[in-house]
Amino acid sequence: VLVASGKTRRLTAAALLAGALSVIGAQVGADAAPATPSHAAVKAGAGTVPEKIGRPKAGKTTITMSGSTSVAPLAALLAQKYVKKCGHCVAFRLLQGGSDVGIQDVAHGRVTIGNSSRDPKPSDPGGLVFNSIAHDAICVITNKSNPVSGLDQNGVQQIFSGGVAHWNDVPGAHQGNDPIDLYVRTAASGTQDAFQKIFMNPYSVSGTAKQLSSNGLVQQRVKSDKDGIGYVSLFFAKGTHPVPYKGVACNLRNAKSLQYGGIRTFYMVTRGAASGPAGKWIHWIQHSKAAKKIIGTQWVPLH
Amino acid sequence: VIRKRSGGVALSLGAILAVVASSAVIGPATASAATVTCRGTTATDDSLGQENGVDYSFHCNEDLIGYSIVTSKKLSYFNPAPTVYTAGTQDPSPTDSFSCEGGFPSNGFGCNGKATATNVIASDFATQGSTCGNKPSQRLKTWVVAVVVEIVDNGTTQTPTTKSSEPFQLFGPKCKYPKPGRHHHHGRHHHGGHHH
Repeated sequence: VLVASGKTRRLTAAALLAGALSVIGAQVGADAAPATPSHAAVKAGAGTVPEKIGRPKAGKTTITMSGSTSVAPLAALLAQKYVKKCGHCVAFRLLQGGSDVGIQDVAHGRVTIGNSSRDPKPSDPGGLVFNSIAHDAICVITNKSNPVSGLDQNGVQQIFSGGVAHWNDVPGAHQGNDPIDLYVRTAASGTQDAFQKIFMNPYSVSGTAKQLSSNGLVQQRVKSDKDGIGYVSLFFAKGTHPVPYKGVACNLRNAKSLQYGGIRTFYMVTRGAASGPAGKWIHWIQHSKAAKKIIGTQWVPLH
Repeated sequence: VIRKRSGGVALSLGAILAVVASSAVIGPATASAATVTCRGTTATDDSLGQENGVDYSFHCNEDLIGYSIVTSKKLSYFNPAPTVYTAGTQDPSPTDSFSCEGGFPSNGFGCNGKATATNVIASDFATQGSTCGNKPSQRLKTWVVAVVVEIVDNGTTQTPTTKSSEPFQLFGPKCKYPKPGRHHHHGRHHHGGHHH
């Protein structure tokens, strides 16, 4: 822009100057265009939605949630039912980002509830209350063309730590000597944390594994990669082959009976004890038959 | 790479700057709007386990980094994890996905992620009231707004710029309504029988 401006000073024709100024104006406009918005910026922008688009009526509370991509599908269904049951007493906003994001958001007062698919950690900010709402199965999944017959904990650890790198070293695999493509979650993921704790401890996931930011993306990768293996919330296992773990199939029935070994807990995290509209909602999730019915469709109710 | 001439500016600049340097004229002018186009459909779906469930799918001619769905009726639910299918197949894309965020109830939601041009994004939502209503004017209308990164070329630099498209209305859903007059005629015939 500065170079163009300098050139225009040397031009004598008024029209030329006007034209050049048009260029400058256009360039400034282009230069000033925003880059890709950050996650925080998107969130901040969400607060500027006009009244007519999705804002609750005056005086109605909006419960905001962010965090786990595993909890999000359940939270969406529960919110839908609760709005109807309580006669539109509240509205909801659902954001995602991963469990760690939700926990940080609620700790800093950016949301009412942080959705977490992992247990509390000593490193989490103080003053948070993890309200359990459901249990969920983590399934190790492979491509449907590679229906691995089963893995024990040692097998999972060998594969995901990189100790076993080819499918011909995995009993029951159908991919010959193909290399194993590992798909894991990013560090902010509660599913990653729960997988590490339940399946991998004390080993760690291989550094060569492809880290993906959502359950859906792991599901899609494994669905389309015959050499792929990953782990997802049971809700996201559709279209893949869930590998039996310790001789027990990863399905809803075995999760509900607690026979399946890869069970973790979903939480709605609040700053202090849950109170007000959010407290009522969490209480409804934990104790109502309607919520239990929804949870029971694809997850495991607490009681 | 998307290059677009904005009509009036490009013409006037072409005439003026030709005197100075012809090379400046050859370079493209600044793009003023997203050039992406999208199209798709909606369909009622009772199999979703949802009252007033609606499937939506669409594709665009540029890579997406986000999109928003806007509806004429209040939504009671949206699926936060859409699926992206590789164009021309039933296979999920190995690299593309979105996570959706928004309100319950609301008139829409936004999704962040990525999809390669022409790949099909598919998911579902539910409306609070009847999707079709009692007459065509009450039928659900749905729009998609795409978010893309386009290269703005001002002749000297090429700047990747995030742009939001115009709203593209999705076709559907198909709804069946009684033909105007037929029901009325039938009722009179049934109740009155005056024509006989």
